This record gives sequence, structure tokens and C-alpha cells, in this order.
Amino acid sequence: MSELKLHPMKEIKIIIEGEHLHFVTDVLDRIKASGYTIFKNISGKGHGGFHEGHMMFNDTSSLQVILTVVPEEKLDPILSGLKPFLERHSGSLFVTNASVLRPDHFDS
Amino acid sequence: MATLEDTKTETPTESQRIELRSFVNLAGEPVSHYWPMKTFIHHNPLHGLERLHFEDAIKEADRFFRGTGYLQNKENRIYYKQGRITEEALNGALKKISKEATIAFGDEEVSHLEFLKAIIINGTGDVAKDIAATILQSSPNQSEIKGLIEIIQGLNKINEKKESLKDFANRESDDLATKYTLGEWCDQSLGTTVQSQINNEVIKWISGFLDEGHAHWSMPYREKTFYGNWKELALQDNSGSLLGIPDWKNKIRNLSEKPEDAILECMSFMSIPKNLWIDYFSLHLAQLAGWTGFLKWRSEQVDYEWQNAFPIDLVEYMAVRIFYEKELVDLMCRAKLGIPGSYKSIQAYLKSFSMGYGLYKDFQSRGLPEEIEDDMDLSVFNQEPLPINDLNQSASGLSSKWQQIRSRQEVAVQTLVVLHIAKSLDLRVQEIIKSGPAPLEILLGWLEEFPESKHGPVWLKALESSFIKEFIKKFDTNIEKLKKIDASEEKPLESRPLSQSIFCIDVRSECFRRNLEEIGGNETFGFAGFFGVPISFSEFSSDCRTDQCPVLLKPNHVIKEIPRAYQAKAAEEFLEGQQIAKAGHTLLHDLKENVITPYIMVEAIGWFFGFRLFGQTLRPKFFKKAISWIKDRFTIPLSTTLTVDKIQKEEAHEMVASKHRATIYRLLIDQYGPLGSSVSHEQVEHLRKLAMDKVPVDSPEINDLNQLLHWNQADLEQFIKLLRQEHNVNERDTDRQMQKITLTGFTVEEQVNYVEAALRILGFKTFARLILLCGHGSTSDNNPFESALDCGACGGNHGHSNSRALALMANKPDVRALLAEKGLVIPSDTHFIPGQHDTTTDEVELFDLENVPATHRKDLIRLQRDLKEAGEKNSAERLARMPDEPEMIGAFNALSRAKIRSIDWSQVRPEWGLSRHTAFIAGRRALTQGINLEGRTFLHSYDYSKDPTGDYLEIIMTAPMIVGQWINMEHYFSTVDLNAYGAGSKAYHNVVGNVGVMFGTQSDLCVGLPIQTVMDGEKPYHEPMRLFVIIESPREMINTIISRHTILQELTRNQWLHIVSLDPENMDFFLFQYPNNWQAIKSI
Repeated sequence: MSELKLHPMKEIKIIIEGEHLHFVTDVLDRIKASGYTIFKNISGKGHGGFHEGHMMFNDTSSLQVILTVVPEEKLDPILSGLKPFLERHSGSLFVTNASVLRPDHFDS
Repeated sequence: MATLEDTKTETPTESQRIELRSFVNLAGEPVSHYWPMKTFIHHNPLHGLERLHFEDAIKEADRFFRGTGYLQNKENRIYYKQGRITEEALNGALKKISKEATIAFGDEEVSHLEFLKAIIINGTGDVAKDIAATILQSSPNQSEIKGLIEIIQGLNKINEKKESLKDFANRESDDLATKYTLGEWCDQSLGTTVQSQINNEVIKWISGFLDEGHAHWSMPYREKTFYGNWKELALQDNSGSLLGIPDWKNKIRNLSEKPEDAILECMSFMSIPKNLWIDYFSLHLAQLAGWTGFLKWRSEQVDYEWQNAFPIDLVEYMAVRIFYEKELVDLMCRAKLGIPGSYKSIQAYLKSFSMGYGLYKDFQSRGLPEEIEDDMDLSVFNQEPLPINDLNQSASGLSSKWQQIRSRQEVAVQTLVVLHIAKSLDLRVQEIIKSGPAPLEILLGWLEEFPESKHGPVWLKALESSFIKEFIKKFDTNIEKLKKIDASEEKPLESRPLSQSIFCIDVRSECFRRNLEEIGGNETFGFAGFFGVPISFSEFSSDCRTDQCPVLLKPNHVIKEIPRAYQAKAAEEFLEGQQIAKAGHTLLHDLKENVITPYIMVEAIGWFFGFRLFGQTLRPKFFKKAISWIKDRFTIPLSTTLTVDKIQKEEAHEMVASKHRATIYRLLIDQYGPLGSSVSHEQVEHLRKLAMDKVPVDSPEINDLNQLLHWNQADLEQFIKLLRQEHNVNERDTDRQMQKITLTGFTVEEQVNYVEAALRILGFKTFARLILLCGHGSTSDNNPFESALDCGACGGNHGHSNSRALALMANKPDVRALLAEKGLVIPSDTHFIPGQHDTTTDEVELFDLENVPATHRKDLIRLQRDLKEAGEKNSAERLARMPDEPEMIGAFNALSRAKIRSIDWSQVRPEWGLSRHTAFIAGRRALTQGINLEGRTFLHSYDYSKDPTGDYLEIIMTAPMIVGQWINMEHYFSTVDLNAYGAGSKAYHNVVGNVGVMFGTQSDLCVGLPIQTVMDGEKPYHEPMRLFVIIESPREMINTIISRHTILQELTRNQWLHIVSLDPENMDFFLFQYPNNWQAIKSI
């Protein structure tokens, strides 16, 4: 285990309505985030109360999580892009420290 | 976090660029998506504003799109006279905004409610200021008028409202960059045409760029993205110089490479305050809402080939647009006013010269009063730049006189208004004069609070209330029956029906279902036309896939149409025939579009087109028959099926392996020629495994291969490296491809879930021997809007692929066995048969007849006969609603008449489509059975007693209901504003770029529905109301579901639709009022 070298990165999690998915992915694509994962149809409780994920035939109104891991220098541009969005729409954004094994996979 | 305000560097930072992108993308939200016409999607043109209350969204949309959000008052007054809007409903709607106040004119008292009613029915009597005095002079009773004028002159309200020359500048200062772009301000204030110049330029570039194979000569440099392409071509185009933009080519050359930087430069030059940017961009994007809606849609498609090849987005578009604005506004402001074209300089101008500007604006907008004109040299207004200092000076001297004249005119207008109101309220003018100023002051205050522009929402509520109260009465008899059934006083008929048919919820199915049921023995159901199976469908021999589901969903499964196993030879011939047809089509197209060939072609084969022209115009039916006959002779009949089953993992693995082997073969042949082709299959397989790290390097096959190709170890390693890196023969690619392949089809468990969901939502009790799953589509000729008549639940496509897929699943023994384990037992003699209802011709085509068991032959023949009879009746019913159809008395062939409409290329209205729909009912069929709902109601089968947890209702309310609301809002707004939200008349449409239609050669892309869909001549055919969703379910259950979903809360809170519960407890109708109140319909 000690032979493995971990590299620091920033992990960003964004929760938004499916309808706005493209807004977020556009920001990440422009910043050249090397990838992201999307979790569809999630449930949970927020400012607006409990949000049910049971939407059999509606992706656009269901809540989704977009998770990405980027080098620290990309954090600022991503936040600059998402701030105006979060000022108008509901959603959440979390930034945490993360470590990765292969930094080249996250730095395109 | 660095933002635009923090830094003033020359080159913007990445954060600034991204922030700007977000501003532009947010600014695009009010503009609704526009899907390409081949899959027309009914949607709410104000979808981006649904977060606002319906009435506020209409105001906001007026700001951006200059659209009207309500039916004109004169149309509503006609509805009122006709009784479509009842007096009771109008009173109810007015009560909500009326005050408990009365005013007395002598003995006569007028309540606020009476006043509101009088002016909503009779109008306010407002007239233009400059003609009011003339009208008054022609009035017979001059003494009364004089008395009235004297009182009105003394009213505080009149004196408070006195106009000032400064008002123009103050108003425009507030509106600049919030209601109008700088370009629009120039046009309105300086009489320029900046907006149309920008629009014409942008349309020129964007229509060429967005072309999807329609143009014969496609635009070059499109791979450089829209902004790059424009920069390249604008250098070679002199139109900028012709517009008067100085130093055009240098300016283009010096523009930033990145569109974001170009926008930032322009915004900085125009000095628009940053807090106004989003709205400012919205004003720009709303200018050509059709084109921007389309590119907004296109830029969001991940796997859209045109977008991937030629990228474009709102930012690139904005960069081009704003550049033209910056240049043209500067040009105009300098020429007309002698100031730079920026926000700051215009604001400073308005502030410094407000009096002189007022004089200029008054002259320009409505003409100065004659008395003022006499005192002035009017030629100053035509001087360039405007001598504003002189004007300011003149204005100071004329201001008081001007104010007096305008005030006098205002008094004349108000006098006319009072006379009009007096007449409407049956008041004597003498009494009004005698009563003095106090009551009149109040009356004019009331009038000010309720101008004609505020009547729309009241009329709408009154129309809706009139409708729903009348509509629910239709169900009285059926509700009595249901009460007895629910109380077990009456047993419903439980015998096995001769057939069952599941139709789409589409309003057009309602008539067909009714007519089919009336024949006897046929039970029908309503379900979203994609039958709950979201698929990406690939038709046999087609290169494209269609998403067969509502646009709310992205399908994860691919279904392919393939020839049946015994059809191998026919399939080959079919493909060959198709190749020949394709080549012929291309040749003809090339000959038509070439510069030279059309001259010869007209002589040579022009007569052939004449046959079509005359045939299709004069004898469409005969022509169609002749063409069908020819087609039958040449078309190779091909029987197909669908790949509903998932490809097994092993099979998928082998498919990828075989693809990799082919790659290796090709590479060996490329590199070693005939020697490469002599490599054995086993050796190739070994190479593949080697590339995958599946076998050791040292093996007999490899040794033989080394000998054959004269390889040493390094050569082998080099080849393997090439395979892995350049040709993707590696484990990772295998995984990726496996994932793709396994998207095809469904697992048995998935199939069970889809069949179960469909049957349980529909509340199936018994199963007939034959169950028809009937999708729908339409056929019409020369109609770019054809897909608007197709199935909305299937993404604007024909629905047969979904019905075929579900039927295949439901007929499978292993699916049925698993369903039986879940308690859903489908009798073994029940067969599901897929079909499609052509809503224009009323023919029902049945598919996969080979699968119908021989034992069901009689059932099939009977069903086919019944469908034909129902189609005939349905056509007769529909034709009676067509204004251009002659009245048919006695027996006539309705199917034939309907067919002619579908093939007549001059027919602008092949069918009414979904026009005139008003309600969406989710409930038992017993509630609606036998009632003629005139094809105006979406019908979704739903039995609350079989849905104790509300899961099925939740599906209905979060998907089909939403699609219904989109369709409803599309029709609503297309009717209330035919040009801003509708598509205008089809007669002037030109197809552009294979993506949409525009007027003539240059216009915005027409969004919405054409006049011929929503209007009957001058009168609206569609009655614009918000959708009434009537759900037969306990109110508490509906409350619970609404509370779970933000979208439902938003739609109900903001009143984008109405939800009505038919509560099984007392079988009464209740209207939902956010957050959780219910009002009995009878009491509204």
C-alpha cells in the first residue's frame, strides 16, 4: 500500500434537475474536465422538502448528480461558470479534496 | 474566484470566459427549444419561464418576444355573446379582482364589480389623443360635454398625469438595455433599421451553417465552428462594408479567435452594465427565437452528427450578433446624434438633453401638435446629427405650451371615456356632472387600474370556468352508473370482450375508440402511445435511429428492425432495389440542382413532372392509385421483425471479437499483401488474443506466424502495439463495444416489467383472445408539418415500432410465465397484435400478422372488419368538422374523402390534429364511455382501486400529463399570437436547411403551429385554455403525488394547468388550488 503514490485533486459534486444537465456538462466540457459521472433519478431532502426519485418516464424533471474530479487549477473556472446558474436555479454544489492514483487521467 | 469585474486584463481569463458562457446560456432559457421539423415536438413556447406564474411569464415573454399571451378582447366578447363564456363565469372571474366599493352619481349607484363588468364587455372607449377633440365636437349634446370637460379638467388625477417633455427621455433611460437592445433603441428613436440589418445578416449566415443537406452547394469552412466559419467568410463578403461599417475587413481580421473574447470586447465597447448582461443577451436571443431555439436544441445533442461535424452554440451565435450590433449602433449614433454608440453615451445624452429629445421624439412618434409646429422650423428634425442643443433651447421655450395642449387633449380623451362608460353603465351624464369631481375621480382611478391590457387573464379564467362547469355535466349519467357499480348495486359486464384495443391517449383516439366500441364487443383502453417502452428504433435499411419516446426521456435501449429469418433473399433484393432507387434519386437531384442540366432536363423529362403535377392536383385519388400500382409492381415485399431480446454476453463478445479479427486481417493484407491474406483464421485469433493479453507470447501458432511473415520478436511486438494503440484491439475497446451492443434489446426481466407496467396501469381485468396495441401516425403530402400530426409520446414519430415491440414481449411464453408468478395471468389463447392508426385516413394497419396463431383467424377477420367500419364512421365524424368539406347527406364514402385529403398536395389542412383539445382524463372507461367528447379529450385509462400506493398515478402525472401540457401550451400560444408563437400561414412557408420553415427567402424559423391548424378562417378553431387534467382518484392521493415532485408543484402553483379530482368518495369534481386546497367545481 505504501508504494502507491496518491495525487491531490478536487472532487466536485453538483445536484441539479435533469433538465439543466447540459448546462453543467457544458461548463465541464469547456474547462476540459477529463470526465464526469452522472447519477440519474436520485431522491433526497433539501430546502424544497423531500424530492422523490420515482419517475419512470421523465428524466428531465428528476434530480441528477454530476460528479467530477479535476486538478485544483480548474476549480476556479468551474465555480465561475456554475455560480450564475445556482443564483437562478435550485441545486447544490460540494467541493471536497480527493486523491487519485493516475493524475494524467484527470488532467486533460 | 476571479470574475469579470475583478480583473481588467487585456486577455480574459478562463474564469471570465466560462462565466460569460453561463450568462449567455442562462439568457437562452426564455427561448424554448425548437426540434427539427422531421420530429416536430409540441412544447410550451414559454417553457423556460414556467418557474414564473402563468400571468407573470406572459408579461416577461412580452418583454422578450413581443408576444401576446391572451386571446384578443374582441374574440372573447364574441365568446361571451355566443354563450361560450357565461355571465356567471365572467362574474366569478371579476369578483376575484373586484373591491367592495360603490360610487354614487345622484340616485344611481355603481359597484366596482358592475364597473369592471361594463368595461370588460364594452371596452374602455379609449381613443388616440389627437382625434379625441374632433370626436367630441361632432357630438350632438355640446352643453353636457362642456360641463363634463370642466369637471374633468379639475380632477387631481388629470393634473397628476400631466405629460412632460422630459417623460420620453426618462422612460427610455429606464428601458434601455432592459426592454430594448441598443439596436432596437436606435430603430425606435432614430428611425434606423439596425435590428433588421442584424437579423438579415445573421439569418444569412446561420441558415447556411445549419443546413442539413438541403442546400446543393453547402457552406464551406463549417468545420471551423460557426464563429470561425463566419470570420472566414465575412472576410470575403462585402455586405459589412455595404452596411456602411468602416474598415470592415480589418475589424474582422482583428477579432479575437475565441467567441467569448469577442463578446467581452463588444460588451465593453458598448459599456452595458454587467448586472444587465443576462437580460441583454436574452433580448438578443429572442430576436430570432426560432433559429436560436433550434441551435439551442442542436448544441445540447451529444450524438447529433451535424452538430459534431459543424459545432455551434449560443455563445458563437451571440459573438456574431453582438459584433454587428456594436458596429451598426456606433455608426448610427455617430451619424444621427453625433455621439458614440454605447450605453453610457446614450444615457448621458438622454439625461443632458431630455427636453430637446422629448420634442424630437414627440415629433417622430405621433407628430407635434399643430400649434407647436407653427412655432418651429421642422427641418431641424431631419438634420444629421440632430442639433440637440438648439432643440433643447426651443423645448425650454415651448414646454409649457406643449404641456397645455397635451393636457387639453388628455381631458378630451377622458371625457370620451366617461361618456362611453356612462353609456355602458346606463348612467345619465347630467347626473355625473351634478355629482361633482369626487365620484368621477374614483371612477377614473378604477379605469386606470383595469385597462384593456389587463382584461385577458379575466376572460381566460371566465372561459375556463364556463368550460369546466359545462364539461363535467356530460358525465352525470355515467357517474350515476359508476356509483351503483361501486356500491355493488349494479354489476359491470364481466364477459370476455371479443377484442381489446389499446390506443394512444391522443385526443384523436377518443373518437376512434368510441366508434369502435359502438360496433359492439370491442373494449378499448388509452395509454401513452409509446406503450411505456422507450426505445431508440433503427428501421431496416435506414441509417438513422429515431427516439421513440417522449422527449422527457432519453432511451437506453436500441431496437432494430430486421428481415425475418426466411427472408434472406428478399432482403438482399430489397436492399439492391433501394440502392437503385437511391442512386436514381441522387441523379435526379443532381440534375435539378446543377447550373446547366435543368435547361436540358425540362425539355427531356419535364413532361414526366407534368404528369405528377396534373395528376396530384386534378385527380389525386386516381394518381395515388396509379402510383400505388406502380409501387406494388416494383417494391419487394419484405417481412420483418424486431430485436426485442438482449444479445447474450457470449454472442456480443463474439461480435466484438469478429470485428477485431476483421481489423487484423485488413491490417495484415495492407502490410503484407497476398502473404497477409494467407494467414490462417487460428493465427489471426491468436494475434487478437495476444493483443488482449489472453495468451502467452510464446506459442506454436505465433512461431508459425513469425516464420510465415518473416517476423522477429520486435516485429511481432510492434504489430501488437499497433493493434492495441492505433486500431483499438484491446480490452478497453472490447468493454466499450460490449456496452454498446448490449444496449440492443431488453432482458426478459425488463420485458416483464414493461408488459406488467402497461397492463397494471391500464387496470386490465379480463383478457380477450385478441388484444390490439394501436399506435398512430399520419400521412399527408407536401406538408412540412406532417410530423406535428404524428405521435407526441413517440417523439413526433409514427408509433408502430413501439406497439410491435410491446406485442412481441407480451406474446413471449417466458415473459408470460414470469408475469403469472407476479399474479398477472394472461390466458394462453390471448394474442397481442400491433397496429397503427393513420389519423388522417382512419385506416388501421396491422403488423406482424405472421405471428397470429391460425386459431385466431376468425378473430382477426372480425377485428379488421370492425376497424374498417370504425374508421369509416370516424372519418365521417371528422369530415363534418372540416370547414372546406361539403355537407355530405346520406351514404358517402368517408374513408375515401379522408384519403383524398391526405394525398392532395394543395391541402393545407389534411386533418385538424390535436386542435381544440381541452382536457386530459385519467380514469375508468366507464366514466367516459358512450359520451361524444368530439375528439377534444386525452383519455388515459386508470383505475384508482388497483393503485393503492399511487405509483401508477405518479407515472401518469409525471409523464403523459406533462406531454399533454406541452401540447396544450403549444396550441394555446399558437392561437393567441399567430406570429410570435405560431407559425403563420403555411401558404408562405419555405423549407429551409431540412430543419424547419421560414417565410419567403429570409425570416426567423417559424416556431409553433400554423394558422391552418388552429384557426378556422379568421376565427380561432382551437379554444385557447389551460389544460384541465381530470383524475378519478382521491384528493389526498393527488396531494401526496404533487407534494413529491417539484415539477408538479411548479405547474400547479404557477397555474400552467388545472388539476381536477373526481373524488371516488362522493363522485364530485374538485379543482386543485395550490398548495393543497380543493374547491368544488360547482361552487367556482
